[in-house]
Amino acid sequence: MSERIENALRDIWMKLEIGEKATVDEKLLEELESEGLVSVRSGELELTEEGRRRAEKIVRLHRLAERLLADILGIQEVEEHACRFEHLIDDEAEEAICTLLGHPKFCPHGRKIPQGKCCRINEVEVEKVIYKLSELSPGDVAEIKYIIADDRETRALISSGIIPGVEIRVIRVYPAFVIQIENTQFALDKNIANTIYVVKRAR
Amino acid sequence: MECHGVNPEIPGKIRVALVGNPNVGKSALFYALTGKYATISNYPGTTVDIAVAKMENFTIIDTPGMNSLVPVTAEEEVARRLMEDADIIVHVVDAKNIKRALPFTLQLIEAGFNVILVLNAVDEAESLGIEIDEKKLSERISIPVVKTVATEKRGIGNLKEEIRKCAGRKMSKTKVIQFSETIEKLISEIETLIKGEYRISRRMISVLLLLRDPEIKKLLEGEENYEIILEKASSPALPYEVMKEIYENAERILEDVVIKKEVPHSFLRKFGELSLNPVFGIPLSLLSLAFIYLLAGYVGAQILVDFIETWFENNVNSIVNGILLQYVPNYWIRELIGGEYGVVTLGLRYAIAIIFPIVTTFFIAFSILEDSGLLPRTAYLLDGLFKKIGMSGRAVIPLLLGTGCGTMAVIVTRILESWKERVIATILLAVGIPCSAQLGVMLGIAPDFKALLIWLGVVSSVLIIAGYLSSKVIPGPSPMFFIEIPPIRIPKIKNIFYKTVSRLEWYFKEVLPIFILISVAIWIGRITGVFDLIVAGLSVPVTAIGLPESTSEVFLYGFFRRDYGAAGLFDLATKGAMSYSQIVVAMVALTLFVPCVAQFTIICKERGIRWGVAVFILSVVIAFAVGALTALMLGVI
Repeated sequence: MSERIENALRDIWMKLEIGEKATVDEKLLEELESEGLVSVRSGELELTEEGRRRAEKIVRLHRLAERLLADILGIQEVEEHACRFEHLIDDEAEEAICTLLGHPKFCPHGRKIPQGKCCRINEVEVEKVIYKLSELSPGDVAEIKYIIADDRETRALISSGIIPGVEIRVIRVYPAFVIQIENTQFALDKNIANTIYVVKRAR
Repeated sequence: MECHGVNPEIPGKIRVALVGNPNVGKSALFYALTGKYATISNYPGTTVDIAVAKMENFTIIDTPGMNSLVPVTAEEEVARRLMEDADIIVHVVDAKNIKRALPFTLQLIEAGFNVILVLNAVDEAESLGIEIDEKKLSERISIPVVKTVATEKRGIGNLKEEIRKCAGRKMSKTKVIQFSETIEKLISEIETLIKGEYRISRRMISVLLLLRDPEIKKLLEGEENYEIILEKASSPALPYEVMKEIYENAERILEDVVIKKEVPHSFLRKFGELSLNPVFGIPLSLLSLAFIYLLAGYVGAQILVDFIETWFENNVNSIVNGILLQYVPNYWIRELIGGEYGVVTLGLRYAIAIIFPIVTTFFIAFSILEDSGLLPRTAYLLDGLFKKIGMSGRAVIPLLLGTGCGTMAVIVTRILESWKERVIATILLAVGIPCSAQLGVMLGIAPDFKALLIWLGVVSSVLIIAGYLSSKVIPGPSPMFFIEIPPIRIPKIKNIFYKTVSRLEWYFKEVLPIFILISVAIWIGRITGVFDLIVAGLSVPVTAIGLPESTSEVFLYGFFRRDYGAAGLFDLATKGAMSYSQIVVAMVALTLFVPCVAQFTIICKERGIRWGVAVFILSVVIAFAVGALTALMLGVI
């Protein structure tokens, strides 16, 4: 499948995801229809079963690429790079990247990453790089990479300076988690510790 | 939002608000500047009321702790409101945490406030090997920076001087935060859509919108472009990414401003870490509780009350009654002032001879625990247990305070993060947490240790069941536990003294008039015969649980002051009017019976009249139902 078709499928999927109307130019529409990937019903563009499957896959690759670029490589403007990178990832690499990142559920922009087979069976064979704070042990030092919390938790965390890029040291994990940032210690429960994703540093 | 007990329209020529994180020494600084002491706290968010005092022609306002411009708790919302009304903002930061605190300073500057940055507790920072070049920092952020040690009044002269200089200064539109291109573009787009005039700069309003601040959304509700603004603000930029950029700016500014040298860990720091280990921390917490009990329950409620009450009875009551008998022929007028329930013989006697020694000793013990940093550690250790009854470990603070005074504890439930937690804590405080005065009387009344154990077992079971059921029935998100653990510090006697005095001042202002009113209410009730009717009504459930009819009066008066009810019980028990088992049943029922009138009023004020009434009815039902069960268990009925 050409990059152009893949990009078109991805854009249509993302438009439909947020409940908006998807549009493509006539020539592309003909091409997509002839390959059985889209259909037009009452003037609205829809993905066929096959189209949806392929679009979901490319969206997943795009968002995994974004996560990889942002979290592991530390690149800030990930969009453009991810657009090129997504087309280069094969099935094996996809699963390895997903497992490496700890089967992330959201992209750096907060959008959902469609699940792959590896997420459903929760593979952990490749050594993880991204951990939840709740998976660390006392004495571990780590850098916060991203936080997936609800608004109320996010506000509490960011207003205390618990944000990506900050280095933390785990002091205790029981009965609640205690972490140290600079010269301040915070105690937090497991639910919050589950929302903070980190990369371990050498102790 | 209502600002309890304080008029947000604070009078005074130039208003100076002290703002900053909890535990940075704002209240100590307030005292150093004004000579008045506000309640200082060693755990987040407990400045019970907002303190206001004069310094020359400035009005200094001590606000509750807040971590950033984005409020999380109700108290932080109050703090932000007060801040928006101020002419000068003194941002107080803990010098050793300057890296985490500076982002907030930057936000304050960007918001357009007239800011002074105070680096407090520089002595602690220096002991950790942290040196800060305040002149360089001041140049970089274009605002005055002052170093202080508030508890020792170091640097206060300089701060006063800077406050005087800052009066009337107009803030130039300094841009101290430079965001990435994408976020800057988004901010300027939102900025141009905002048309109204606000106290906070449009740029900062846009940043706060990107940080998903619900208060700012409310502020903009009248904007013609409201919908488009919200749409723009719900952009892909996540709140923590925006905050991360603010932190990166702070880090850049602090480059070669902060120099860190390695120093060996102090004993207190090691002790602080050790106290987080349950093996060491749980016994330490139990010792803290025992310490509170020893000071308030034993020294206060038993030794001091005995001493002062005897003195009061002999020197005040007898003289007042003597004078009344001699000069006032009318029985009812004599009863208003003296007799058994008079303004002096009951109201003043209670306030001065019973409550005063108990709350004083309790406040001393509590202040020591607060200042030492042990309270948040207890909250951390108990979080798992509290989660089972729908609250986070933080709830230990109001509940513990409830064993001192339930009324004050209901106010302190404000530190709890969600509405659901605040309601559950209020219910538990009203239903089953005995106040220190009541605890003292219960301990005195219990015929033996076994009776005390039965009472404790029944009341604790009711608390756990009530908490568990409330957590299931009351809607709302599950509790979240997140608390800053301050370092272990050795409390300073001077601080404990001023803190206790200021709390007592607050307590008497609130409580003494209530005592007087109670005496008058009892007097009116007796004259009109209303009390007799209520007592007759109450005698039905009271006798149903196997207690003598005379106990009904005790229950009614217990509503006016819980401990008064308990004291009435004490009289009946010593007169031999009740059997061993009846005393235990009465102890249980009276502990669980409705909160006193002061607490009831505060519940209505804090949670609304509907909740006040609901809690009242719930207490009556629980008290008599559990009383009946206990009576059955002990063979009373």
